[in-house]
Amino acid sequence: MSDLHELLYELKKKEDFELKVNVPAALRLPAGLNRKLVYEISEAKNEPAWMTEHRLKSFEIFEKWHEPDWGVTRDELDLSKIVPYVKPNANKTTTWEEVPEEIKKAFDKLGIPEAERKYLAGVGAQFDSEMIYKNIKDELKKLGVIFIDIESAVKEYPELVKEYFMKLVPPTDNKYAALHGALWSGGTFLYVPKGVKVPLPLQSYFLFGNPGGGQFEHTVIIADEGSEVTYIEGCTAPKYDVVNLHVGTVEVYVKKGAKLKYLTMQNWSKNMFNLEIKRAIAEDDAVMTWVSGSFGSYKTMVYPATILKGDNSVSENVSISFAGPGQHIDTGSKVIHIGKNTRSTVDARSISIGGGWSFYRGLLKIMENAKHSKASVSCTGLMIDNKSKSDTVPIIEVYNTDSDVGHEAKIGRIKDEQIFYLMSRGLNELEAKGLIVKGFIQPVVQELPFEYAIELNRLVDMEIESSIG
Amino acid sequence: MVINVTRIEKTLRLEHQKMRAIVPQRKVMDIQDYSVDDFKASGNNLLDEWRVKRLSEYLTYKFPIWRRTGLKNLNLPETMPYKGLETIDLEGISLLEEMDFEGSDRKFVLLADVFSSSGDYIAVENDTTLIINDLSHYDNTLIDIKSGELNLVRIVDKPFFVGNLRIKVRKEAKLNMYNLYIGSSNDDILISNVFIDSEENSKTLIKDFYFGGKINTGYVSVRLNGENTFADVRPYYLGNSKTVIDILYLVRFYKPNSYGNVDAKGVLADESKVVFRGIMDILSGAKEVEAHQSNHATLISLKAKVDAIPSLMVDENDVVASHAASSSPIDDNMVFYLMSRGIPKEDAQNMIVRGVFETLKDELKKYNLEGVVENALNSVVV
Repeated sequence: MSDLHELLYELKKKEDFELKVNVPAALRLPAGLNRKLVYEISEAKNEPAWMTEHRLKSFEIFEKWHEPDWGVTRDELDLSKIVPYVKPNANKTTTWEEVPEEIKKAFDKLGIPEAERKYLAGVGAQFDSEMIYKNIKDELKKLGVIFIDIESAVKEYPELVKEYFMKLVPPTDNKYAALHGALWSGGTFLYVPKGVKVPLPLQSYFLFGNPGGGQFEHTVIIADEGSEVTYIEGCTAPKYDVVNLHVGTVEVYVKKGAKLKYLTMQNWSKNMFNLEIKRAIAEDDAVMTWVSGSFGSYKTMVYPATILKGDNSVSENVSISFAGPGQHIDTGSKVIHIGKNTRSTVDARSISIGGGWSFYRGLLKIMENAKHSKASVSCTGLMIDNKSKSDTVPIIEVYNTDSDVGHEAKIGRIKDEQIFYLMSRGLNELEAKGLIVKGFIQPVVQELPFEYAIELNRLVDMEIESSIG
Repeated sequence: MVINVTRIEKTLRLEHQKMRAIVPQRKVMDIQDYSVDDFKASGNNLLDEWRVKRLSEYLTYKFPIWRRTGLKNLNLPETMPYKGLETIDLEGISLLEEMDFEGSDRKFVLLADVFSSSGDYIAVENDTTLIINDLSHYDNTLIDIKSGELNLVRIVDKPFFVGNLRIKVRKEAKLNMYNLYIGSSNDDILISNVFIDSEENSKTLIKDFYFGGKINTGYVSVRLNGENTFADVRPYYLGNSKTVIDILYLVRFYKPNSYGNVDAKGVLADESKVVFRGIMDILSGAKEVEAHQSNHATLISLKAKVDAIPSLMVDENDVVASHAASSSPIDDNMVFYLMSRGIPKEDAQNMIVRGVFETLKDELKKYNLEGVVENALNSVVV
């Protein structure tokens, strides 16, 4: 067995990515969707009346909306069996010492407390339906950066929350946005004041510890004029033999001249329906960057969107999605150019392996007034074997003449010559394939903090080994 | 002769192993439709039996609404006496069954199958040239190229047209086809569905030209059903006024070592719009195929619009598959170059627009039909 094989074997034994969490919940509302349950979630959170009303209204919309008539099939997803709210047996805290041992152990395994010490400006940790830990460096607090769980924001900054919460993704957007509006729980509220440049990334980590549960965290980020911030979102869960559901929603407001980078590393377990909504709006001269790595889940539908509302605003979207055995990963990107001189790039890469199906679905829209805009979309599909499927369906709508729009896509395999060359240099076939795949995902890897890049490479090795090894 | 089992060539294949993707729902319009009483016998029992089956399926659908195209309403003309495939024999019926397809919408395919008032069943065995320009509003044509080369030119210029064209390109045979879809008024609606089924070592060359009308739509599906098949498909569009040109080109690869290329280009003026849908679909087992697709739209008016949906669907990893799409105003560098040679700006721009269609015009000269494209161009550029 080669060194790499041994390393992978050891890694697997350690079960770094197979978390087992056994923590009794403080409150577990029953499965089933009804008005009463929505009310109970609000009650459990002791919310102000306006939020309760928002939830109930969203639930009404949910009941009227039809299922989206596109994307992955959702036959196995029985919403009436999803447990929508599981309150962990832990209080919200700002020190890891106060986090219950079992939960802390799980986050330790993921390296979160260590990462916080080393290279993060702040960390949030969500277990099941609630944020149980949130902390930010004092110097940032002093500069006015708000980084708290969203329930606390509802109480402490009601006006700010009212102004931004579900304004970019309203409950009327689609059935799952309405469901989210009714059941949301946990998530992050991040406000970076004018001109503040946060030197290190802030991170939230979402961990799922309950079979049959649904996680509906809500993230609102406001980067005020001229500010800069990088936010990392990580998701993972142990595997259960029932379907879990994740309907997270992210709303990002990038004000004039601000720069925001949103990184997602999704490694949900292979029983997860991951139906996320991510949307950003960029004002004049703002820069919005989405970096996404999608590795886990059973079925995924996620299409990070940027509305380039302001003149000279920029959107960058870099993504890698990995569809392994039994996985149907439907991802893409959406960019809408409204302002003049707006720019956007999409670099979407997918890997299909072991029978997995990756489907890129994108929308690029150049509106009439978006004069002198430039947009390019590039999709690349790597099919490691012959059992898998790779599709790309981009939609490009150009409604003015002054813009340059380009799109290109390629789907192919690892060429024999490439493997032959690497094998002639002493690598075995698996290592050669692993190396090529790592080269393929490099654009995402280079956006990540160093330690994360290492983790991602390890993850790729494991996925490849388990799919073709 | 054994009649082959019907296999409908669908446009989208949204399945993989046990997984499925959701097929978008059709939106439909409520309009006065034909009924059983509108059925006119052809005098060929074999054909009528097939048509009645089609009619029973036809009656189960309503007409579709096409949002991108702006098709919201239809006024169906009176049906005319049947004409189309009345000379068909058992072999032809078998071909029809084998070459059933979904088209831009199943309803339109069935409409032309059942109610056609022009068309033909043609078997080609030697090199042949055919010019078809006497189409009625519903046309149904089936061509079987058993051997040799067919040079086919079809001119569609009816104010209202729904037509099916099925062509079987057998082993070693060659098809060289031109379709000219010309709308002459701002109310014209042209809906064409073409299905080509090609066998090994065959060659298919298609050049289509779309101009004018309110809605001018073309659906072309090419089934590369043998090894070493070759298809080169070149749609050209010229939009002016408020015309919406909505075209779908599908090339599906079933067998190894085939080549398929769809290269669309066009120019859009006034408030015209093009919807380009391209699908290159490679099935598992179609090894070492090469699939390319591109679309380039040149916009010469501030209000012109482009929707491009270039799709690749790949189930086989031993392939070369790519697509590209772009849209832009007239290239400044090209204009600059021509101006540096002493050509005034406006003339330079017109030359560039005309240049897009030059190859097509040259090839049509053989049939004395270059004037069709020239006339269209004259009404858009000076």
